[in-house]
Amino acid sequence: MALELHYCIQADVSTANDTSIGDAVKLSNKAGLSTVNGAQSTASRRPVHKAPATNAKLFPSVGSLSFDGTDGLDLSAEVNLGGQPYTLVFAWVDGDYTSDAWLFTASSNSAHYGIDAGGAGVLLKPNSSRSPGGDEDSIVTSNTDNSTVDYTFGSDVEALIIVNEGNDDVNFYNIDGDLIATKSESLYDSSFPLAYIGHNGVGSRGLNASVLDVQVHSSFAATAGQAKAIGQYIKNLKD
Amino acid sequence: MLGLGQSLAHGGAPSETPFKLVVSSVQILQKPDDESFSVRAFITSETRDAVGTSSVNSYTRYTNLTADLVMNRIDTSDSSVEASATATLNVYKGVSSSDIRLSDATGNSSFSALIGQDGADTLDMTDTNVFSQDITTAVTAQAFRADVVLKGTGFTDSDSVSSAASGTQISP
Repeated sequence: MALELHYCIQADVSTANDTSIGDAVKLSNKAGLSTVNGAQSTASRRPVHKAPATNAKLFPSVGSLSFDGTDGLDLSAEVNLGGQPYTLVFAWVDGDYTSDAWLFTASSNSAHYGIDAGGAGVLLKPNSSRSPGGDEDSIVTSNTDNSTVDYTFGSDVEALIIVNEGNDDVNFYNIDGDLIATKSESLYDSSFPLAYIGHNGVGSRGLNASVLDVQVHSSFAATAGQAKAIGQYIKNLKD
Repeated sequence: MLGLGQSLAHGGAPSETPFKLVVSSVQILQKPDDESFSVRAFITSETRDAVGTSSVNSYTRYTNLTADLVMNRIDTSDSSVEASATATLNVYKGVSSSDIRLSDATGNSSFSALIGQDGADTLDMTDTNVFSQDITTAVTAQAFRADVVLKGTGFTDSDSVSSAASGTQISP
């Protein structure tokens, strides 16, 4: 198991406010990890860094990266997941859920994990062209049919912790470490060549929010307790 | 009636008792470098008045304060402590009026410089008994609970206050 990617945006205290990210300044993987930069060659799709003390919902030392719904980052190298468990973490604030938002997108078959328009569901499409197993699933979170709590994402600090067990089971946890959705389907254990963050690769299906933290763990399925510890880290970013 | 900070000594003469420092909460934060964590504590308004106030970008050291830190590695399945490490760290004003940062830095500092010095020289970050993996080269996340006691010249030690009992994630 290994941490493949960690964009620790919240702790960036050196990048100037309103700096465009993706060209001259790229999003850097955490020190000590492989070089996987978040880049964006299209100027109109570049998110903007928001310096600490610019968002009242965040603790004054916390920075963020503002995506406007059409922005997104392309990874300089794919992170190949699948065949084994993996865990994805995405944290943000000021979410606007007018449209579907793809948080993690693969390079093939438009495979993705995301948030359903309205903020009351999560999206999952495995890396397969086969139907129906390879279709996009929208799993409602605003009930307890597939979870332990009824949950809808809001505009305060939020986190989505996605745990692919590597055996067709996928669990989704919120910032409290609560299980908000779970589903099992053939093909869910397909390989996932992660290539894009925050959009579908061509500037749509983007999240309209300020991103705080992105983590990708390979060969690791977070337990409920570990998801709670991850959520606690994100909670500490609130003012 | 006794006023705040007063008590009756033997013989009935009033005497000053040192102000007791009060920590209201403790948090563990992640950092983007390979030292990986920072510990923040919040103090009450009365304690803030007693030790001084801060302002944004004011990372000056409280030279009359120190903090005893215990970093506990947590088993997230039952919140039990698997191992612990201790350190005595210096205390700095944080960015808000009520937060303080613990660091093994000694001089006044900028925030960006300070977050690079949060105990790595005092806590043995390579001790794999404490940090299930050498935290400077770890490849997986670990969960910790920080216990903090604030101490100061002329003050009574605070009670020990802990961060989230179920652990806070620190990524490598």
